[in-house]
Amino acid sequence: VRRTLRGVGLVAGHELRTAWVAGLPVRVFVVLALVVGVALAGGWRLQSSEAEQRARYQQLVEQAWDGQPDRHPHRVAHYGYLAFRQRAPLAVFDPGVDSFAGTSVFLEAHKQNLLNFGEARQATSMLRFGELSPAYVFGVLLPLLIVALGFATVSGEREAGTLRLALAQGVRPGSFLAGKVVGLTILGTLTAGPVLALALLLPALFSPGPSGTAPPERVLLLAGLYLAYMVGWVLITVLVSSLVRSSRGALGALLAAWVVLCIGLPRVLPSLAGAAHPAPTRAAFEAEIAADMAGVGDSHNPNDPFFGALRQQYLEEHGVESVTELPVNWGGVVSREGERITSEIFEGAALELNRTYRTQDRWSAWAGLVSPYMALRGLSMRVSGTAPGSVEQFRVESEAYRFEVIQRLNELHTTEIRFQNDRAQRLSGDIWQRFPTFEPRPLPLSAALFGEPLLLLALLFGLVWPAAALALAARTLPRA
Amino acid sequence: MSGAMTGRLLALEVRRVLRSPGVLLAGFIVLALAVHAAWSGRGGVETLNAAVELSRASHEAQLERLLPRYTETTEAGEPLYYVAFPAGTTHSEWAALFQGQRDVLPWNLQLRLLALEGQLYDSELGNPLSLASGPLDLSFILLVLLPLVAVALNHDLLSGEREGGTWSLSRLQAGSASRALGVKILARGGIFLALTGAILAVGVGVAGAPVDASLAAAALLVGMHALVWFMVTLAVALGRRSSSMNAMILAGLWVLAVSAGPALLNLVNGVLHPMPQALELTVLQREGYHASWDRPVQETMVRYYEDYPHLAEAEVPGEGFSWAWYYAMNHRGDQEARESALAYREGLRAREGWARRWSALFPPVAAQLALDRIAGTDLSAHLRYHEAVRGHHEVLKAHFQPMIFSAAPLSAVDWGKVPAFAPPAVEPAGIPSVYGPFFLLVGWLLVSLAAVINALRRVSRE
Repeated sequence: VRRTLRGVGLVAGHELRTAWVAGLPVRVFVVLALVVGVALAGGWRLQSSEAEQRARYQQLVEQAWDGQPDRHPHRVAHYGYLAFRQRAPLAVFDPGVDSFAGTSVFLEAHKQNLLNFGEARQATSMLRFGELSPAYVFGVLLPLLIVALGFATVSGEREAGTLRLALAQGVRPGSFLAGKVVGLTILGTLTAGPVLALALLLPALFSPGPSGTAPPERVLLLAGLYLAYMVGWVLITVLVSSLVRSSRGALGALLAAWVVLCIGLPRVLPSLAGAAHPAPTRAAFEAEIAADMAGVGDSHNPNDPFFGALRQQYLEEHGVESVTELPVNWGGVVSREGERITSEIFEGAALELNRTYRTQDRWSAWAGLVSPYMALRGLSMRVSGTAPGSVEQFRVESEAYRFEVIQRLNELHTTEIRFQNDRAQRLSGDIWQRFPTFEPRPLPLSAALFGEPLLLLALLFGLVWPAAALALAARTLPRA
Repeated sequence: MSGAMTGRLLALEVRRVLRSPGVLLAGFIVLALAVHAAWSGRGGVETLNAAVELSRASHEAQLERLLPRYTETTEAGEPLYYVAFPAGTTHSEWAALFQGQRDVLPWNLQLRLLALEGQLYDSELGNPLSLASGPLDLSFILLVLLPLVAVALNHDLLSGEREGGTWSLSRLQAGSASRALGVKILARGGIFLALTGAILAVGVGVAGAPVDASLAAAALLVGMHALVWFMVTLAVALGRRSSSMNAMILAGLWVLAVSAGPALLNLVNGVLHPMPQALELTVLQREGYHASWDRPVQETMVRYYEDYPHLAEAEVPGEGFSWAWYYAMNHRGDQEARESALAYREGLRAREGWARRWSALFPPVAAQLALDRIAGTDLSAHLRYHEAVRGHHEVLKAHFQPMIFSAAPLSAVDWGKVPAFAPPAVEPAGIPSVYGPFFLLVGWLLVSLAAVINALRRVSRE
C-alpha cells in the first residue's frame, strides 16, 4: 500500500511541478478569475437593482391594498393584488431559468393570470447565446481548461518515452494513472477553487437583495457538486489521454466530447423532448379552459342547472321561497361557488401544463447519464433555487393566496352585504388591513434536490464510469 | 507545373480530407442536426400560426356563447366587456430557420376594450428549461457548430504535415510551398463552403422556404460568416505552433465568439439599460383605473375628453354607473401609465440599438441579429408588432365608442364590420440593417484575409 501511495504521490508531484514550471496554473487562474469577476460584478449589479425595485413595488402594492377606501368586496376582488417573484440569493451564482420565467403576476377574481415580464422578453436575441454567470464558467469553461491542462498528461509521456521509463522504474500502471488524476485534481482545485469559493462566499456573506444571504448548506452543497463535476472531467481527460495514442488525437477527442456534452446535448435534448411531448400554446391552453368553463356552472345564467340546484338547496335549507328572503347574500354565494369551480378548472389546466413541462425536462435529466454537464446544471439550479420547480412553487403559492383572498372577499360579500341594492353598499376601509400579506416561501432544499433523484445518480455515474474505465485502461498501459 | 497537375493534386487532397473519419462524422452530424432543426422549426412556426387561427376561432366561439345570454336591448357596453379580439401575427418560413426570440415573445395577443397596458405584456407559454437551454435552429448550426468544422479542417493544415514529417515531400510534389498550401487551402475551402451550402439548402428545403430576396440576403450573410471563420482558422493554422496548440487557441477563440463574448455583451447591455418601467407601468395602470371608481365621474370624463375631444358632447350620467364611464376609467389607467410605458419602449429600443452596435465585436452575433431581422423574429420585429397592436386597440375603441357613448343596444353592433387586426409586414430583405452586418463581416474577412496572406508569404520564404 505504501509503495502504491508513494507511486501516486511521485507522479502527482511530478505533474504539478511540470505544470507549474510551464506557467499553466497561473494562466488558468487569471482567465477564470477574470471571467467570474465580470460575471459576478454584472450579475450582482443587475440582481440588486432588480431586487430593490421588486421589493419597492411590492411594498407599494401592499400599502395601496391597506389604504383602500370603503369599497364593495367584489370591487376589491377585481382590484386584486400584484405579486412579485423575488430572485433567490444564489441566482447571482446560477441564474438557472430565472430570466425565462415571469417576475410579476396579477392576482384577481375569476381567473388565474400567467407570470409576466420575464427578463428574456426584454432582451435581444443575443441572450440566446447564453448567460454569463459563475455557474456557466464552472460548468462549461472549466472542463475546457481541464482538457487544456491534461490532454497530454499520459499521451505526452508516451510520446516522449518517459511513460516507459516511469513504468520500468517500478511505478505501477494503476499508481501512474491515479497519480495523474490526483495531480490534475490538485491543479484544478488550486486554480478554480479560490475563484469558486469567492463566487459562493460573496452571496453567502452579503445580500444582493432583500431575499437575504445564501444559506450555508446550499453554498457547501454547490461547492461539493462543482468539485465532484471537476473531478469527473479530470477522470475523463486522463482516460482519453491514456487510451488515444497521440496527444493530438487525445485533444481532438476531448474537444469533440466537450462540444457534444457541454454545448450540443443541452440544446438537442429539449428540442427533441419538445417534439415528443408537445406543449400547448397560450391560445390553445386558453381555448381549452374556455371550453371547460362552458361545460360547467355558469353563474350569470339564471337557468343554469348547477346554480339552479344550489339555489333550490339553499331555499329548502332556510325554508324560504326566494333568494331575497335568505339570511345570506345569494350574490355572494354564487360568486364563491363560481370562484371554486373556475379555480379548479384553471388549476387543473396549470398542473397539467406543468406536468407536460416536467415530462420534457426528464429527457434532460436522463441525458445527464451521458453528459455530466446536464446533470450538474440540473442540480446546480435546484440548489440555487432557480430551477423550474422554484418558479412553479411561486405560481402554486400565489394561486393559493389568490384563492384565499378572493374567497374571503366573497365571504364578506355573502355575510356583510345585503342582497337588496347590493352594488351600492360598501364595507369600511379598515377591513382590508386585516387581510394577510403574501409571503412566498422558497422551495425547501430537500424537495428541490430530491425532486429528480436521477440527477444525483447521473452525476455520481459520471464519476464512476470514467474511474472504472481508467482502472481497465491501467492494464493496457505496460504495452505502451 | 500544369493546371492538370494542380487539379489532380486537388482531387487527391479532397479525397484525403474526406477519408478522415472525424471530418465525415462531423459533417454527417451537422447535416442531421440541420434536418432536425429545420423540421422542428417548421413545426414550431406552424403551431404559432395555427394559434393565430385558433384565436380567431375562439373569438367567434366566445361571441356564440356570450351573445345569447343578453337581450337585444342590453347596452352594447356590457357584452363588450368580455369580448377578446384577436390580434396575432403569423410568421414566415424564415422564422422556422432563424428562430431569434420567436419562442420567448408573445406574437398572438388578445385585446379587450379595457386598459391596454394591462394586456400588452401578457406572456406566451413556454417550458422555462427549454427556453433557457437556447433554441436548436438552423442559425445555431450555421453560426455556432459550423465554425468548429473549420477548426477541425484547418488547425493541422500545416502543422500536421510538419509533425508527420511529410511537409518537404508535399512541397516538392507541388513544386513550391505556396502551391502546396494553395492546394490544401482550396480543397478544404471547397469542402467547407460545400457543407455550408448543403446545410442552408437542406434547411430551406425542409422548412419549405421560398427562393426570394430573403434567401439571397441570408445566403450572403451565412456564406460571408463561414468565410470569416475559414480565414481566421487558416491564419492561426499557418503559424509555427503545434497542431495541439492551434486547436486550443481556436477552441478558445470559438468559445469567446459564440458563447462567452455574446453572454458578456448581453450582461453589459442589461446593466447599462435597466428596465424598472416594467413594474412601474403595471402598478400605475392598475391604480389609475381603480382609483377612478372612488373619484367623481366628471373628473375621469374630463381627462378622457383630453384624448378624445370629439366625444365631449356626449351625455354621460354625472352620477352612478355608465358603460362610457367604465371604459373611460380603463383609459385613465393607460393615461397614468403612459409615461412609463413610453420609457419602457425607449428602454427596449436602447437595448436593441446597443446590441446591434456592439455585435460588431463578434461575427456570429452580428450575423445572428441580421438573420433574425430577415426572419422577423427579433426584438425590433416585436416592437413593430407591439405598435401595430397599440394602433389596433385605438381602432377598436374608435369603432365602438359611438355605440358605447350613445348607450346603444347590443342589436346595433354589426359583428361582421369590426375591423380586423392588420399585422405589420416583415421588413423586406436588403434593408440597411442587413447590409450593415454584411459589410461588417466583409471587414472581418478582409482583416483575416490580410493575416492569411501575410502568413502565407512567411511560410513561402522559409
